[in-house]
Amino acid sequence: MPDATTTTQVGAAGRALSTHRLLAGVELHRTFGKNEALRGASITVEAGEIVAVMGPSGSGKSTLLHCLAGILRPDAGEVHYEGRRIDDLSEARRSELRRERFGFVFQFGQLVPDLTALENVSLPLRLAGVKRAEAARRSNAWLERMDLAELASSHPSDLSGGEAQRVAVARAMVAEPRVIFADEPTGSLDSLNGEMVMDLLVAAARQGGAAVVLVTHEPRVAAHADREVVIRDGRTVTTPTAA
Amino acid sequence: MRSAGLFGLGLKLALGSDRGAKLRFALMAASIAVGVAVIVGAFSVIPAIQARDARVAGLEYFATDGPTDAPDQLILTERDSWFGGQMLQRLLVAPIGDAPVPPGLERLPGPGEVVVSPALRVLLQGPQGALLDDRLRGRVVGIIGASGLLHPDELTAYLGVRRGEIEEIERSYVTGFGTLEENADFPVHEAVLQSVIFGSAGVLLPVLVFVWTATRLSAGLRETRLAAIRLAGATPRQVRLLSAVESGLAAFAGTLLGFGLFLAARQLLALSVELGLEPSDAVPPLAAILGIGIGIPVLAVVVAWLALRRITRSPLSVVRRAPIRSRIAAPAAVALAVGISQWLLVAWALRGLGDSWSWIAFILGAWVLTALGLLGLAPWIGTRAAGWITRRTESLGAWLGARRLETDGRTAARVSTATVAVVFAAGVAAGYIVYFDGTAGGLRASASLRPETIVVDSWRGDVGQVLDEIAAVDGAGQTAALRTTHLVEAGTQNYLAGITIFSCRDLPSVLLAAPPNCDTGAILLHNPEESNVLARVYPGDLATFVPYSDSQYIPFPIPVPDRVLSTEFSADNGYDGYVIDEAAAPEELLRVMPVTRILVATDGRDQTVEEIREAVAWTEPFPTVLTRSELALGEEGGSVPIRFAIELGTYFALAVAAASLLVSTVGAVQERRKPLAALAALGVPVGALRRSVLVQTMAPLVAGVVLAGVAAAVVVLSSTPESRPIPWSSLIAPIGRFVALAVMAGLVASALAFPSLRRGIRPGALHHE
Repeated sequence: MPDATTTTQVGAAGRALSTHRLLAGVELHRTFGKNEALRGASITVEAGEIVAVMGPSGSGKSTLLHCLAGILRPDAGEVHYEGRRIDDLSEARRSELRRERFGFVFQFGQLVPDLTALENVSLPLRLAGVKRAEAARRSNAWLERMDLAELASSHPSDLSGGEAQRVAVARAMVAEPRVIFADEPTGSLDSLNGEMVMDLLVAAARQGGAAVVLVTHEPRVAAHADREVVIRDGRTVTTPTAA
Repeated sequence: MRSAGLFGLGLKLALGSDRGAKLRFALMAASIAVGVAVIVGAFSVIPAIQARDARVAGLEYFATDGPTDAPDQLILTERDSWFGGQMLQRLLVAPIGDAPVPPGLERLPGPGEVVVSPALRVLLQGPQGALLDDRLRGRVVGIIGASGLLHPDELTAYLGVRRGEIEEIERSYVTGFGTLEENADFPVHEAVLQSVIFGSAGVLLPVLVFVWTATRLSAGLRETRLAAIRLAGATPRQVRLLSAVESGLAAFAGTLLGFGLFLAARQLLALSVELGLEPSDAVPPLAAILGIGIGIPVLAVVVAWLALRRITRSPLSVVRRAPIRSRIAAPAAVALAVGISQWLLVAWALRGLGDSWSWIAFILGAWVLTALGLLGLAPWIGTRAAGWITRRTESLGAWLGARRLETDGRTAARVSTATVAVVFAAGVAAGYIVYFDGTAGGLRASASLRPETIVVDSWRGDVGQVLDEIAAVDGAGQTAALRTTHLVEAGTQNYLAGITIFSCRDLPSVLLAAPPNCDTGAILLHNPEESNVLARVYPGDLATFVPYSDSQYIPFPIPVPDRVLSTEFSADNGYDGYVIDEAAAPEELLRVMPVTRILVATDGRDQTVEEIREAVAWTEPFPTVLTRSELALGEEGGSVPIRFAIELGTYFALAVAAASLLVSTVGAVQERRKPLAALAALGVPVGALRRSVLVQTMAPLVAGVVLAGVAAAVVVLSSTPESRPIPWSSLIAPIGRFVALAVMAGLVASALAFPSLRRGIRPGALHHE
């Protein structure tokens, strides 16, 4: 179990410490126009750890996740993955990192509407250069694990919200990532489907040894995490371990 | 909320405070403006032609070749010239009694007096005025008023001469001007009406698609906003009213703008003197103005109301566009087959209907069915092409784009609809131009001339003095006199072959390429690409010809050619046929065939050309002097303005279609920015997303325009008569040009959409709704 106070350590010492974690964001700042979304937020994630990032709407949760995942580049601060700084990498290198090491589950619109469930799941493998047949085989296996085998040829518009999120989880896991970033993965689901998706996500992550950065504002969802990080007004605060 | 309040809210929604709302409003208004301008322009063509015809009728005169008993007559003859590429109309006049005065003149010029048009007055006062001294000899005593001109910039002069002087030459005795009463109805030739109908249809279709795509671009966001307002408690009626205000306002602004655009565009008419049209001629009927001014905004409101019927709102305010599932490939194939069958019928069975309105309806039906068939089949072909790409490509971008096309071929193909329509219409027009070029004589005398050679045309008799005058001009060199006529089948007057007599030794100095060793006797020239003269002439048969100095048919046995040459040479009228060296020509033939054309080698200076014109301006038989480019203009006949209109219409329509393509592509990117942003987050390179957009745009476009090009060629080939076929290979370049242009437009539109893609995949798009 990681030290719950890690996330509040800042400055040179904190930066030195964070370089030994799987993933760390140190004193991250990000501004959109006049809106300061992040004001020195820091976070570390250990291998295989599930961390819930909680906070009220507009507190900077999603921005923090986007910075950690290399989708956004912070205005100030550093992001490290496996001890290497990644925030100063080029967009192409960060894309490569996301393709090879990270998986994503978002709340809305993450599935490509023109692709079937199977094709959506196989997308990360296709990105990694896996041949079509092999990609289909591995994707089918994940759809079976998500109890979606019979919907492999369905398009997203034909899926329910819960089914679409399970497809998204399968897609996030299929390339065996080291970190899964999940941004409000149950935000558009009812509680029953939300529970099912979270159970599958957590089980898959534990089995694959992947860490999960889980952005949510629901305590019920955060309860699946090993640890909670609360973010408020763009700054992270320490909380006790949740699970 | 009261209606007034809703109206205010509708205004606010339409104009919005953000730049995007203003841009969408401007795009809708602009697209409607273009459509309105085209429709108003189409309605103005007939009134413009009628206005010009009224002016022409006002200038026409009642005349006889010989004097009549009328006490008051005007003796008049036209002796036209050219100046700087523009025709100079010279009317020589001498009164008998109280002669009628031509329109636009306050009085008739007396001997030694000249009345000129305003443009000619300006020219005379300028530095080049001296080059007109001889042609317009005399003192300028007046300016021709507007009622005496077809176009304000035309060069026209009335020259007063003595009665004895004018009666020595070919002249008319005029007893009155103006053939029709004021406000008379001027029927417009059916061919003009047909051109207006087809031209308007060809241009209007891409414009309508542009309006549709521009409206669709703003529809998504507007529907979301309206759904939100509905969820906030507005009744369906209130939502419809809001939508109506927003759409109606854009349509109203667009309509006003369209009228302004039309008024600005009609000023272009002033640029062409040859058309004889003035900007003020193009005035649409009042009914059309009212119909368009009221109808377009009302139509926009109705369309917006209908569009809202396709929107459903869930309790979570998610807007779903209820999909209309239809399979139109089969009906489209049927429409295309029926349309092409109609063209075949037109070619083989129904040509006799050529002058009737039923022919117009039939052709219009064929056009509409072929166009609809093409538009309907393009998505199907695009989808099949996408399936082919999906199965074969290993490129992620191409695969993503192709899968998108496979899933929703209709939406993706809609992007290319307008362009496909334009390529089809432009291809048909280009094909017919090739056909008309092929049947208009084919061989162009202008193409055989040296660039500095000028042509002195005369159809009226002895040219001995003309040759002397030309020889006296500095800069004029070798001359070659040509005698030309053509043989017709005895009894039927069907054209058989041309005959040109000249002195072979004179030709090399004036022609680029003359027939080699042509002084051996009669040579039969033919151009295998352009003519079939060999199939028409049977040496030894009796033909007839009319010498241009007479009107009597003279029997003439078709000569046995000493040689048959395959050549593109044409010395005179552009027809294929016999050339005979003067030395070998029968004396009797030379006696009845006057010199009809003199080719003059010059030093190439403009001043030399004008000096030759000055020299022969008063010399019998008043020949017309033309440069090579002016001759080429004449060889084009009346097709120059038609070609210009077709070219202008085509490029305009293509530009509008390209705008549709751009708007659609950007719109498609905006609609899909969330999944695109998710793909970018997954690590899909931007390059792959660009390739996906490129495939989505280009696959249906390329399939559609290639099909349209082939269909256009089929239409042209099948509707041209067998007696004068055109080789299919001659259509490749003119139609292929439009296919290539359309593909380029697609590539440019895709490239211009890339910045929108870049913006669309920003992480902000991943934020929760």
